[in-house]
Amino acid sequence: MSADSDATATTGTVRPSGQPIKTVAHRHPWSWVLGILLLLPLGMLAHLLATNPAFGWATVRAQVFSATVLDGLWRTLFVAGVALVGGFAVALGLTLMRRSGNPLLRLLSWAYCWFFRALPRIVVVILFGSLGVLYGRLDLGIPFDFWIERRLGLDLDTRYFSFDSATLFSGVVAAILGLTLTQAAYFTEVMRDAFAGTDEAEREAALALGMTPGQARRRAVLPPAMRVLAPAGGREIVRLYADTALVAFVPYPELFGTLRGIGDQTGSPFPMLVAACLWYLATVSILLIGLSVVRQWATRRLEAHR
Amino acid sequence: MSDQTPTGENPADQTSTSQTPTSQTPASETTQPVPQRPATQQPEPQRPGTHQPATQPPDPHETSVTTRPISRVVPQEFRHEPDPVLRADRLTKTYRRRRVLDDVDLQVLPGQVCCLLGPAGAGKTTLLRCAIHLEQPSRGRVWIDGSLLGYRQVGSKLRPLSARHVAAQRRTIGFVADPPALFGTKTVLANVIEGPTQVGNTTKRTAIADATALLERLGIAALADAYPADLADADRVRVALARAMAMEPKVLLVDEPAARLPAPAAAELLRDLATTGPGIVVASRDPDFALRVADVAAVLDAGSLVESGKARDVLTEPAHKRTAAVLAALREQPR
Repeated sequence: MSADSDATATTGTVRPSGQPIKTVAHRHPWSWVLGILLLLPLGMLAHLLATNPAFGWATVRAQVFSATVLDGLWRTLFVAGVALVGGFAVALGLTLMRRSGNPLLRLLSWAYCWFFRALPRIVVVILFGSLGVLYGRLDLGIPFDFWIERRLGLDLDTRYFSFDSATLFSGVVAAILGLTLTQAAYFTEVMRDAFAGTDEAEREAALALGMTPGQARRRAVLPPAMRVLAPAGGREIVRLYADTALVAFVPYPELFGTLRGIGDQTGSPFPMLVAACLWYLATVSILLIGLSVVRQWATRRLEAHR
Repeated sequence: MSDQTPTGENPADQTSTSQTPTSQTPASETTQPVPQRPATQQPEPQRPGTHQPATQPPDPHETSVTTRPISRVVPQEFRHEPDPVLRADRLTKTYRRRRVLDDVDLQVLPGQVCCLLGPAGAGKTTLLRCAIHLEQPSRGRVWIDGSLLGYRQVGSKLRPLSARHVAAQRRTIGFVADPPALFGTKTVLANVIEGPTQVGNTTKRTAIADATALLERLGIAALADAYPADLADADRVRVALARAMAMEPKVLLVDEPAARLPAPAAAELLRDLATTGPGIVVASRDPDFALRVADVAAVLDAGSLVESGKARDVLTEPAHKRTAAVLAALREQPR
């Protein structure tokens, strides 16, 4: 290390006393050693990926862009999109209920969140897939009409639509319901945290300026809430996207379900899992980039208020 | 809640002196808008002059500032005076059977500084919040620049105004809370232009020019691009004053500025702002600050108005024992 000290001795500014300041770079040799050590398992993994025949790269390549798999991918995107929008809408309603003056509404909102947050998501999803057990048919009409009819001694035809609930609650409806309703509960929690951090005094200051309550919400409550809402909401969106894989157990043939099906049929499930991993890695990466772009834009809008 | 003038409160005997103000007396001193009331509870009409021995010898300089009760309906003889920008009439606020504000009357003229003086819990903040309708009074009314705040009268009943109408009324009222509650995500300048651009229909360019001038006037021009979190407490009060004044209010309500600003600086700022026209109501616990800032002082204790009148008289020669006790307690406490 003598070469180092020679090099550093000649650099630096000159003190008033005339002596040059010795600047010595702070070095972390051990962190480099650790880094190199950690490269070893990574290399082993690469070797494994390249040489182990179980990965079946040929099968992966053959299937990963096949029409069936792409259909599954679209279904994943569709379910995630609907659950995102629907979950957000329901969460908005639940948040308003929770903040309302009506104790019954507050209780209902709380109970909803308690129920869907206490149950594991996969259980909820499978539960919705099996709801067909409860009723053979689903009718749309007036609630408790059988009771009303009996009381009045009439035979009203109050059932306007009916569905076969077994078909309704398998597939896309169950998938969307399971994801949307759970996501609504998760979003509600995020919103609660976000609005808990806002200051009632700032809202009143906005009202005092002469803003209407709606304006005060937009201008004084939302901006500080967005500081919590934006990052936490982003995390929730990524989580929702990843959790779409759960609806394979509804069963609903989205990306993961499709690939698993192919794997079972062809007798090579592992390569299909690898294909699923590749697709999720790729799509989530795009999603993350998109979210970060949106966040940067939103931050600019928030900070540059002039 | 009838709006009739209680008989016997018409200060006809005082009109002659007040009608002929000495020419060089400042406008703020020519009037005595806050009613005098005894500390005792009985609502019987008071005889003017009884509580203010200082005014009894007819001093030529003091005749026009004699304390006199103001009736609920301003008699014709007073029409030459400016109309009050704020008038609180028998204002009462009850929280769960606790009277926070008890039957308080108050009038503030344009350009006048009125100091609400009283210990913590006297009802100063509640009175200010009622005066911008952030708090609905349990009883009594507030008029801002002649219009009934928050309600419209239908027959003998009061109907609450819609949120939109209340918002429109609040545009003429400035409010500086304690703590000042600036918008944390916005810069100082953005805080100040928020009202004119979002509520008024000022263009951003004009609003920025006006706001910059206002910040200059309040001595915080250098802080325009800072965020509230980075400011000193005293500067936050200045920014909040600028934000309120940017709306060019008729009434400016300021809660405890002397708790965060040095009292002389706070007094100077408010006196300067009053020259622009708004009637100012400022709450404080500091009698010395009140003496510096106020034309009119109103001493509150436990929700009721103990004494009000010309600031110098009330603060230096209180007419009531209770006022003197409140002032002594306030002077004693460390600040």
